[in-house]
Amino acid sequence: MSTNKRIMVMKRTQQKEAKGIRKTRATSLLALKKVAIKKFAAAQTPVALEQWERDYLGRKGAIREVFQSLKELPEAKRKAVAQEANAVRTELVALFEKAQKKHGVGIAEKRALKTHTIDVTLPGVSTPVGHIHLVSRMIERVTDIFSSMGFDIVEGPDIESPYYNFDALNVPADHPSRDLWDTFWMQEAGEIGRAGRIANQNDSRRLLRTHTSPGQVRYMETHKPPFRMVVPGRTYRFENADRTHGFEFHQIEGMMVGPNISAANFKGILTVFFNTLFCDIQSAQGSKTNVTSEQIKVRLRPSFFPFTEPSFEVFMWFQGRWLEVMGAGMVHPEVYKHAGYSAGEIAKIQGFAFGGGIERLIMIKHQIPDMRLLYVGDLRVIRQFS
Amino acid sequence: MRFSYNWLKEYLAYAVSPQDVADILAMHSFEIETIEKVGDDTVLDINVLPNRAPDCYSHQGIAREVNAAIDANQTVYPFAPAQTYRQPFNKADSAQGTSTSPRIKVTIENVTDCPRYACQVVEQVVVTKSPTWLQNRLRALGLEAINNIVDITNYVMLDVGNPIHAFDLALLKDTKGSEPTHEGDDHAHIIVRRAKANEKITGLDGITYTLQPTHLVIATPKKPLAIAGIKGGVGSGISDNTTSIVLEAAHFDRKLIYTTSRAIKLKTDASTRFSAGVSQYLPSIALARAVELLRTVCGDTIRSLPVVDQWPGMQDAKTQQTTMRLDRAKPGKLLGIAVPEERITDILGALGCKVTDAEQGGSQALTIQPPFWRLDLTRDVDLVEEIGRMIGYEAIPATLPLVVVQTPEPNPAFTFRNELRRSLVNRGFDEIYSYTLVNRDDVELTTTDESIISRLALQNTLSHRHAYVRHSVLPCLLRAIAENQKQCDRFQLCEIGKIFEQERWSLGLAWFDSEATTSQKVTDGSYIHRAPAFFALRGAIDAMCANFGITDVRYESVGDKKQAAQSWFDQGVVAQIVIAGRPAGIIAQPNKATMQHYDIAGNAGGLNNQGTTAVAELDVAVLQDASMRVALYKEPPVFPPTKRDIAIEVDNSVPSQSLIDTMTTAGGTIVESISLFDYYEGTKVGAGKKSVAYHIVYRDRSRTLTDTEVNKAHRAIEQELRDMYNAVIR
Repeated sequence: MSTNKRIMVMKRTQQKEAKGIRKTRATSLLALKKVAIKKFAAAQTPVALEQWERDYLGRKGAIREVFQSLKELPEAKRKAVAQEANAVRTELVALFEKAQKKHGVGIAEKRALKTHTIDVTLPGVSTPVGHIHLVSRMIERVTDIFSSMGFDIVEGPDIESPYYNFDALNVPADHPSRDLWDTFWMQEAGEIGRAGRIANQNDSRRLLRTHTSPGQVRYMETHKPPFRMVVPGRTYRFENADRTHGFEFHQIEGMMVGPNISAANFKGILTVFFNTLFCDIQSAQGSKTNVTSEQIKVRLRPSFFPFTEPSFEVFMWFQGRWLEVMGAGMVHPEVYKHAGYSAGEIAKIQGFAFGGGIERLIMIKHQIPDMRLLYVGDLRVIRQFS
Repeated sequence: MRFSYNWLKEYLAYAVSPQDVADILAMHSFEIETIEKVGDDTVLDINVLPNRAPDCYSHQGIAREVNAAIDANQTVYPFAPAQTYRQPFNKADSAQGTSTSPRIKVTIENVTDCPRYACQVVEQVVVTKSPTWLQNRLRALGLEAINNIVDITNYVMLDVGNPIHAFDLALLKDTKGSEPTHEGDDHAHIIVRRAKANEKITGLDGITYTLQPTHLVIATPKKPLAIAGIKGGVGSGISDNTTSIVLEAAHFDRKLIYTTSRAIKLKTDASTRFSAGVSQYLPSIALARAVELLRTVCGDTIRSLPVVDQWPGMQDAKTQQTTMRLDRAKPGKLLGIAVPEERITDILGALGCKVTDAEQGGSQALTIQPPFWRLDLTRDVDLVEEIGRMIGYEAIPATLPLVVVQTPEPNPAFTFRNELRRSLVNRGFDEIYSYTLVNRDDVELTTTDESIISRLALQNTLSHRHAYVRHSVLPCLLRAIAENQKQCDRFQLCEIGKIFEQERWSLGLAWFDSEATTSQKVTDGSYIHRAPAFFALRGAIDAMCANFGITDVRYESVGDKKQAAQSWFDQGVVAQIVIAGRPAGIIAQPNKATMQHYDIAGNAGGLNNQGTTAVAELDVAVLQDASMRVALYKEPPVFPPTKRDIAIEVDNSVPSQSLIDTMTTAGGTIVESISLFDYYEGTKVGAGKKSVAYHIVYRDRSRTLTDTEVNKAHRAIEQELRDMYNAVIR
């Protein structure tokens, strides 16, 4: 024990004796209470209060001593004294707690802080944080929205037959309209999944699907209207990549067919879709800029696809300008025919189909300047989006 | 395609500015790429849709479109010169075989290849430069001005839409050296026939093309003159000496021109139009237009002879002009707006259709006959499109459909991949996307089987770097490791993507930690530093599997060492992953050669310096199959377990899994779990030995085990280990 500490202990003992605490066992509890209250009034500083608490309420304090002395009392008196001691204690504790509140933080805690304070700004134990790729995120988001509107989610093979990629979609062989889709062909021919129903069965060449539209006929071969479905997937084009084109990219195909599904319904569904898809951008920026608080509108312009009639180019009004986002149209009767629907069935149905680029939506949403950035696996890019 | 505003203006019924034309077309017909001022003209680059090429690859066509869009009530502007298309020019208009006129006779060998061949001799022409207006128009549209005759043929094509060609009459005669005579029997003879095998012709572009019998030529009895519908030949072209010309305006089989153009890799203004299809009615209009222009440009001194018009396909052309029935309610129902009948008849009328009530009165249908130039209008929905776009799609409101509530069909594979991705990302994996198309080296990383490789190969490629569909996602991950290690000391990557030849979804995982061997603390046994990334990745795979309730995951050594020797991985640090008894994938440390090939820097320490990197590939379908669908409740154990430890010294070659399997069997049903807690190799045990220690938990779910029972089982385990592995129990 250091000299200093020893001196402090001596001092405390002397103080206790001076206050006459030693005599409390013999004196009445009432007197003890009176003294305590007087002392309490004098204890104005947190340090003094703390001392007071030790003197009366602490492990070796006056109240504790009373309880310890109970066994020396005659059996009959014990209970009454104990009750009285308890009452005094409760009163003193209440006093102390009130004072504590006045001083703010608990005094004991304050002292503990002094000795146990850590630098909370030091880093935590590192837990690696992963990031979902933007393409996955967008596909999930898009399919979630359509799924919430009752659309089935289906997928098809990346390596397709010319039948499903072209013929079944009413894209004639040896016609320039087939040139709309620059195609990667596999070196070797082969069987791909189910064989087509009609025509060109002899063409066993294989290709990398140029769009997700083969999903239309594949789906209809096993489903009858009314239905609604989307097909997300990777697609390929035999063309050099640039900022906005990739030889590989992703598409979302969609289709809704029933007795009365009209072009107006297509506009309606797409308006809901785009507003849901971009609602987080709108709420994030809405307060700062005015342009985003308005609803996203959908505009259709004439277009041509062999598998839709009429055909539309779809634009959306987004942040003050019209952006081209999709191709679409009303499903061509030939496509129903290739799916195996009878003439009678075809006469009773109508519906829309659409296809859009996933990367295009990502680039719009996150202001990404070059779609190739999504395919280089650069963590400095990937980790920006959580 | 470029169009001249000044030119269009000649046919426009209303005074509209270039911007008006652009706006009208954008709204109702075609997208406008650019509007550009060229001299005193304005050029519009119009994106004519492929189905409209037959009627709109021409100025008259675009003008018709604009006129109809502005005012549906006007009279249709027919072709210029007016009405010529309805008049057959010559008595020999429908016969197959040869037809003649003064100076020229024509033979079509195959009617299907060439349903119509019209030509006309014009004499006393003077070949000079074109007048400035003509030159300017062509130049504004990107064509060269050559001489008045050639320029006029180009002009007519751009005006009417039917390509035409001019031959020098003198050069068509096969009697060499002699002056052309005007005797009646001295006809130039034009034959439309298939090319002979390897027949050569030099085009006006100076290139010699080798043709085949699948291609069509225009020829004299002795020599080919032109590749039909695509390019003229050098031997018969217009020169300064030309005084008499033959103007050809023909119709060729669309597919034939398309396939020929692709086969000989020659795309011209003519081939583009013929490939897309042109109306059979146009050749005579084009000829009349050409002669009209010749008169304007060369003066009245020219002498045009009667047209030779051989049109064996006429009947077909007429029958192809189908009459359609259009249900009056159909446009409104399909578009989702009210379309009064008056509107239908006005719009279709303005577009040149003949609209009449259907056969019987009171029928819901109208009868529509499209104009001859609209080859794209063949069924009722085509007419609905015409009505829709002429009304303007802006008029269509956004209305949600009324449908029966139906929950979507579940797609477990799609859902599983989303969950898998989330599970990995939650334990620190960053997801990457790579191209499916890879190079030959990438393919050979995981397969050397030529029959597989050839089925992965593309026929047409953009670059050798993307010439195959991938056989594995591992090369993509290795490349991403190399890319990212420049900026990042440690990372985990995952990619969920398709692999081939049997197309399926694959999960690729990569673990990279540049400091793995120097800083990573041994946690439950000193073995980890031998291949830190490997064991870290294995741990992640186990955790991922546990996430999906997959508990039966085993790592087995790769058996065939011979095959392993030529592989990408480190022979000592590789395992086959077996899930629920099915091979599910591989986990390994890439070997030095692989690291070098992909430019991944290793570091000191670890086996062969590759301790920093481990990769794995798993079959997503196997994972999905093994994943627990619905867990059923099990009563938590109420009786206490008894824990015993066992420390074993055994040959280094004995896998831990074998020890665990043996102990599990030997201990019987009361063995609940066995887990490794200590591992040691080194001086304290003999060379080639290792010391391993396991916690064994014994429990019976129905009662408290007695010491005697546990001791018995534990002794049985010890005995079995001694017997099977010559183990020393410590």
